[in-house]
Amino acid sequence: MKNFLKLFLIFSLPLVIICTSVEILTRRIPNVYKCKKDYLDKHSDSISILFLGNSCVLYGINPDYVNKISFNAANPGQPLFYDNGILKKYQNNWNNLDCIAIQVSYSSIFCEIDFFRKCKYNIYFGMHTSKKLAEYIEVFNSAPIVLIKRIYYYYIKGYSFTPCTDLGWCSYGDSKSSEGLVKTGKDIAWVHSKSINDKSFSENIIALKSIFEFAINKGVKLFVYTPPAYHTYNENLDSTDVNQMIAILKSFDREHSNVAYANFLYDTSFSEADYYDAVHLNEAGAKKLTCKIDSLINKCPQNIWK
Amino acid sequence: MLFNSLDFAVFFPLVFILYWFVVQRNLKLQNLFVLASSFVFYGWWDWRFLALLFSGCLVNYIVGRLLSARNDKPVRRLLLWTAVVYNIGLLVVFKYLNFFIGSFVSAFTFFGLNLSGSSLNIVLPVGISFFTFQALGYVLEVYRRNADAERNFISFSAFVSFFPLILAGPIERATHLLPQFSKKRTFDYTKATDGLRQILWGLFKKIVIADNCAIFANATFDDPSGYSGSTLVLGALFYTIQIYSDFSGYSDIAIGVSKLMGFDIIRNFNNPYLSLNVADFWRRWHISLSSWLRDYLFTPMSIKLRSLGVTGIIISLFVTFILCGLWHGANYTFIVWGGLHGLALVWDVISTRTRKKIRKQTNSTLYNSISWFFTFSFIVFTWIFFRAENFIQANNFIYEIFSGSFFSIPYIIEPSTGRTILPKTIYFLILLFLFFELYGRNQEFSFAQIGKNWKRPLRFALYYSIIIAIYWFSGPGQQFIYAQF
Repeated sequence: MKNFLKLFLIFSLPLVIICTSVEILTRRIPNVYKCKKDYLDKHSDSISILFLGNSCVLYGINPDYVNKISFNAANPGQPLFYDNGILKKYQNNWNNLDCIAIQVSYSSIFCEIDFFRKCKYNIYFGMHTSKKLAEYIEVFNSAPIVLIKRIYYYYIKGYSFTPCTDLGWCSYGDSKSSEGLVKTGKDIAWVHSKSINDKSFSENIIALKSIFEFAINKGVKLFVYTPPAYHTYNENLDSTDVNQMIAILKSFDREHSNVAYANFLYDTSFSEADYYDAVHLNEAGAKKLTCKIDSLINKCPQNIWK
Repeated sequence: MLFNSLDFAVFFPLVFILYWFVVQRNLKLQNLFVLASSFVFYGWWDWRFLALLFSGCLVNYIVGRLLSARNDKPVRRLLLWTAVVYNIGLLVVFKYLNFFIGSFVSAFTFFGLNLSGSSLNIVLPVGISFFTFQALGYVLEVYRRNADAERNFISFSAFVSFFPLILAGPIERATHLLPQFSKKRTFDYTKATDGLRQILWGLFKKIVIADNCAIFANATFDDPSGYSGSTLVLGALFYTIQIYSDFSGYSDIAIGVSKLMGFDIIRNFNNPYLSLNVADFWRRWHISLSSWLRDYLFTPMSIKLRSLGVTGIIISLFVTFILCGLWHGANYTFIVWGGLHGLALVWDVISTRTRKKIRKQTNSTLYNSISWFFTFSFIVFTWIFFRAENFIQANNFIYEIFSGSFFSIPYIIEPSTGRTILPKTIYFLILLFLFFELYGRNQEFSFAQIGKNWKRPLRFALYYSIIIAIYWFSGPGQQFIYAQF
């Protein structure tokens, strides 16, 4: 028995050491989630406009163009469930919050979160949304090659990882995806359509209602919007689902006095030059969208806030 | 808690250490510890269903004790039927009620009568089909006086809820596993290392092979019209590999874990895809279920119907396999799957003489090759019904297979995106796995002897390679298929 345990420990030790080292090293590398959590820990009480959403917001909203103190708390692939989680995590800190600008898109309302992103909220935001132990460990949630590359580039090559600006915006610059708007539109729509999930939809609807309630109770305005997307993406989505989403959001808009809804999905003022790929805006597009939203929130409140 | 989860990787070493270092001196305490661990393991999924598990242990224990105490036939029969009604009743309520309600409503609607049947929101307790059959098997053995009723409630409950087996079997026999709870278990180094190797191989089968094959199979089953007939055949073949590596992987882990705890568990698979006929397949596939059905359903039924001669056997076979299909799930696709196997077995029975004649006149290698080919093709075909979510999906899949592109070269690229469905390395790993399975076909599990006699550094290197492969090439985490039944 003792011999068995001794050999088993000798065998397991290298594995445990390697896994633990990779886990520690990975967690020390700056990433979007960590940066946002750090910022919110320090400054959540001073934020006036909070932007929530997924990568469309992460790349599409640049708080530098907003007049009031604002922060982009969006993360890649973040569904409404986690928007609500972030909001609730700091619920006692939003002392100056005036408006929550939340993006509701096809993917954020219908789709399941990618399995490898769940752990980020558990690890970096301390949300404890999972029952599974593996969802609290980076090593079990990222492709090994990704982890190795990150460690290699950060520690050995000495690359500085700056995941986002101080105010939470990530930039593609003014570049365009090499794959083109037609291909990415089709591909991303296919991926999103594949990850539709009834459970996620109901979870996200509950989360959205919870955000509405929170805004009402706090006396905070809620600006809900659907972000612009290139027509090649929209055309490849199930139109019934898209219409259902818009109808839900419009009904929320009608029913709540502190809620305003704007749909940029078919906004033709966003041209080819504004997109990085079919769903993500580049720097110019981000500026355009941010200014539009800022003016809707601040400049003509009588039109949108009933 | 699933075997391929980190939770289990933490849970089991703790159980193992406490089991062999703290409670090993007292058998009663050891059994109590097994029971407690099993309840923690099961309750990890949903603690509310522990009451169901406990009641299952209690009812079957009491019936077993009463059966051993009574000699009068009517009372014994009444007790037996009490256990049958209770165990099958659990299955009916938790597994089939919505299916029956839906079927009745559809049947009445078909005949022009509109009934409104509201389905109930019943959660299917995991492993219910396995632990109820294990408990029912015990009562049947006590009734037949093949086994003594267990006096100790803790031992009996540990037998019913034994955590390595509770989610997806193997369905153990009271005559084999229960006595092991009454004997002192001593640590056996060879058995333990053998168990570890079997766990490792089971994890590789599940995480690398089954979960990756699932990607290809799911792609074709989700959109049959998007693929050529030959690609759909490939999709069905991938599912064939998936279900085998998933379920036999689970069984390997269950048996390996049991070995580490000093238990011997019956073998559940014996190279089923090398079968030469369907009857042979059922002697090699999910052996614990097929032998359960043979002993407690088919044999008694065919004895009852023996006056009908071959017709009696045919009826018994067909009924057994329809019920076998239904055991897997409340869906017509499972009934069709079971029915097809039933029909194939009926064909086996009625064509026995003709086949014997042909066999005598033909070269045995040629005969066996043809038999294997037809049997394997039939099994792959029936898995289509097993995998399909409904009858329409199965029909579409089969229709598209024969849509004209059957003889085209299958493509392994997603038509809508142009991406490859699986990375090339995975195809290589699948081939490697099939080679190992074939190479080790005469062993208890195919990895049993590979590298066993190598020097330690080399052996460790082999194990590390498998662990790295499991980590590096893990497919998207899927539930064990049979844990859903």
